[in-house]
Amino acid sequence: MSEIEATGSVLFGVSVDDVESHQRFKAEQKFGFSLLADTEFEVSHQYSGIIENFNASKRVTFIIDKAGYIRAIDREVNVKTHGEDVVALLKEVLPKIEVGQPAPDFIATDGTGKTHQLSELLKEKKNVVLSFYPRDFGRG
Amino acid sequence: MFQTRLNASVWAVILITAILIPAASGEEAVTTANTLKVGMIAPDFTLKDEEGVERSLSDHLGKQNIILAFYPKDFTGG
Repeated sequence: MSEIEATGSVLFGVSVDDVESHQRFKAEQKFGFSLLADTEFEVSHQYSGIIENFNASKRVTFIIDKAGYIRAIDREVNVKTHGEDVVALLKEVLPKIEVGQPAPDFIATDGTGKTHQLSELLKEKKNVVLSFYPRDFGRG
Repeated sequence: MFQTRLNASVWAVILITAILIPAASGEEAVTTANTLKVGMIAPDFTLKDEEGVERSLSDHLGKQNIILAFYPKDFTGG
C-alpha cells in the first residue's frame, strides 16, 4: 500500500455493494484503502462493464494520472499478485520525463485558486517554464 | 429495374447480417461496450465510500494519480 502512495497515487476499490457491506468488508480485510459503493451500477457501466449473469462489476483496474488521463486498463487482474502488479504497472505507465519528449499534461491550482492546464497553455502557443522549488517561505 | 431490385435485396441481406451478428455475439455474459481507452480523459463520478462520504475523481486531479480497482463482490476474494 505504501508503495502505491510512494508513486503519488491513491487506490479505490469499486463494486456495486452498498456502504454498509463495504464497511464490514474493509474492516474484515483491514484494507488500507477506501471502497466505493456503485449501487446504481452507473460507474461500472461506464468503466468496467457488468457481468450480467452475476449482476456485478467486471474485475478491471484503471490507472488515471493526475491530469485525469487514463494511462492503463488492466483487464487480466490476478487477485493474488494484484498489489505488486499495480505498482509495476504504475511505474511503467506514469510519465517519465526526458529531453525531446512531449511534456506530460497536468492540471494545477495557483495561489488564487485558478487552475492551469499545460495543454491549454500550449494551445495558446506559449512556451512554458516550470520552476520547481522546495517550499514557500524557504529561500524561494 | 432488375438492377434496382438486386441492389435492394443485397442491401437487405447486409442489413439483416449487421443486425444478427451483434445479437449473436451478445450472448457473452458481458453486455456493456467498454468504450474507455488508454489516453482518454477519465469521466468524473461521485460515489460514497465505506463511511458514506462522497468521493469524486475530480477531488484528486492535479494532486494524485488514481487507481480504480473494480471487482465483482465484497467477501469473495477481493
